[in-house]
Amino acid sequence: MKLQGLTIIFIIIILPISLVLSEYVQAQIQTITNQTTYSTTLRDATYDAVKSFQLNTVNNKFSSISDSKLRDLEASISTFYNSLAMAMNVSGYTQEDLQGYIPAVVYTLYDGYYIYSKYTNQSTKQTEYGVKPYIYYTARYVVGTNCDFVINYTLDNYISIKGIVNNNYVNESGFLINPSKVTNEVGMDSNGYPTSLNYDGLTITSERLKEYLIIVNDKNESMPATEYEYAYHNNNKVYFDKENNGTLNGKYFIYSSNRKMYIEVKPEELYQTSAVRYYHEAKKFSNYIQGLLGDMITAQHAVNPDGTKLDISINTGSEKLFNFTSENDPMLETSNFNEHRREIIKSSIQTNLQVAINTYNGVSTSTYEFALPKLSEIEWDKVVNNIGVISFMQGIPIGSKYFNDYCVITNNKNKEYISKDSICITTSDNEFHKVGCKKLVKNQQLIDGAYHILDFERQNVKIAEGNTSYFYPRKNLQCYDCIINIGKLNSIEDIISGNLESGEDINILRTKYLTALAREKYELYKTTK
Amino acid sequence: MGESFITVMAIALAAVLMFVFPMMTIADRNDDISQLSIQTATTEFVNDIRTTGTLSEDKYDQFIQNIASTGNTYEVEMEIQILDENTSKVSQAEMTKIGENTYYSLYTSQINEKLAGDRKIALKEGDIISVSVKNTNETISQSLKNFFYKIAGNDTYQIAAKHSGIVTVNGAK
Repeated sequence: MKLQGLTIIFIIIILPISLVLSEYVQAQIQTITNQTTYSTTLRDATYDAVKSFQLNTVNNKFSSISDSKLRDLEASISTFYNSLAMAMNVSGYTQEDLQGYIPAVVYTLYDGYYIYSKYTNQSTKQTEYGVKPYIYYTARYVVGTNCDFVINYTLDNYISIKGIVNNNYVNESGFLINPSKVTNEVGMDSNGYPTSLNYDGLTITSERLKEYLIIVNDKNESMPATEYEYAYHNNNKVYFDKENNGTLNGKYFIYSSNRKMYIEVKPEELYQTSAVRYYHEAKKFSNYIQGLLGDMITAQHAVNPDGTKLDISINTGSEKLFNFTSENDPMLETSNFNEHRREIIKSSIQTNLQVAINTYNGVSTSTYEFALPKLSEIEWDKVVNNIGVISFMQGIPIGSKYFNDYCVITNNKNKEYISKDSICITTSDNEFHKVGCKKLVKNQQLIDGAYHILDFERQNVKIAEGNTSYFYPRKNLQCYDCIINIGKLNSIEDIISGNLESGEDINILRTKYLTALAREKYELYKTTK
Repeated sequence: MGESFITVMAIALAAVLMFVFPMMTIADRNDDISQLSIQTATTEFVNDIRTTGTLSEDKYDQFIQNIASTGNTYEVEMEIQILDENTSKVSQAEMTKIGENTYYSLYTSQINEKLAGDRKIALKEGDIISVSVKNTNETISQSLKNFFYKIAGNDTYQIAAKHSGIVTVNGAK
């Protein structure tokens, strides 16, 4: 055969192979490009959902009330779908199309979580998308025949216990601390609370707080933000009106519909005593729990609601969970109590999510089999320490396979939960710092207050349609070091225990911080109270 | 004479068709696959930083290893924009307007310096991270193309990936 002939045969063989190969590689590229685009889109949409939840709760004075919270939640869900649909519109998906690929969205909150998914409405017998009933982070404990009770855990050291302990019915809730750290309770007030006490060697007393407010006058004009002193009184913030009367015997008001609503309060009540009350009540409650369960309950007594043994991955074994010592201090992340609490939260979310996604398989019109992916330990760590959103997206065809991804986004700027790093310290040079800021340790004499991080966020006042004013409850500027060098901060655990690596004395900082943390936790609205 | 000329031409043509053409195709596919894997690696790297709020030396090394495994050398450019909300606070002269935020930028060399010192950079919600990767060596596909036609300019890279986004969570200290 001539050379030309050979060449032609070669081309006939090679050309189709090369074409098919190139087509195949192109398809693979398309698949992976789609996958990365969709996974970024999912992250962005979930972040938008978290952000909208954050913004709505910050500007909603009633966000702690269940109905109002559900409204914020539904707004957040619709933001999620909007954001997803906006980004996916290019590839031809509308919001309705996308709903079929989202088996569940989970909102993990302070003491429980909501799952948004498709379910069968029992009254109409129709399947519809919606928020399923709130599920608490609970575990059931059974010891012999005379102890059978349930403990509701939260993201921090607050618990509720309900059920039969030693044949008595118990229904109590409160914060757990190491009770032996609270000493020297002095000066009982009319409500039976001490006026000051020692916690871990620090003196905790009542305090004075200040914040800026925008007041709308009678002509419906907003006045420039003015600073007022305030204190919580019967779950309301009561402000002292300096303008009306220069003395402390002046008038007090509640901020209602952006106006001053004057009320009668005794001046001695205008002191913030929440921190003292927190430690006093926590000591009482912790002693009670320790006496009740201290020698008895270990992780092995935890069972599923149906009585079978609860399967948890990190088992604290025969360690007593409610026997509080300096090692098992519920304020410290490494304590047995906290190990166990995190495992319970994780197992509760995992079980219910599995059920929700499996149920979704039954009601979904898609042929794709939805399943709960395995979340990594790092992601669980984020979930059990913060409020946040977990979203799942499965079953979208992306070329040679189906898309299957999930995303966990957490958030610590909200009214749901007081995390340890949500307290900021203000100094007299008009700055505010993160608790771990190294500048604070050197300048402890400048510290003049400690507030929740949300007080430094912009808030709005809606005066009329299209007329909104903005203000900051605290006008302090953030310290430059805290903005730039987040990695170089002291650890909060070290601040709480008072043992800095550098060995410096930080008692002034710790007193302010632990007072503010206690105050904010005490004032947080709790449904299980 | 005529016959032998055609034979020479045929041999030349055969050489091009049988050797250079398949090689170019394969080299091109190879670049496509490299492109794909660095795009995926870059997206994953950036998304990971966005959802954890931390950039650690480990993660960065892992990323460099991932992209180097494609057999090319790359130049990685990073930029972190750190959000500073203070300016919007002080410039808010009118109550009805929302002020503007500013960003401080950290570039590749500063980031590397910080990573070498502290082993990790913690970011906060609202910061922006962007990473772009370009190849610095000449890939086989590029040299073959250069053999036939020259691509002018300095920035003649064949494989490039870029991804950026807002950090969604406050990083752990």
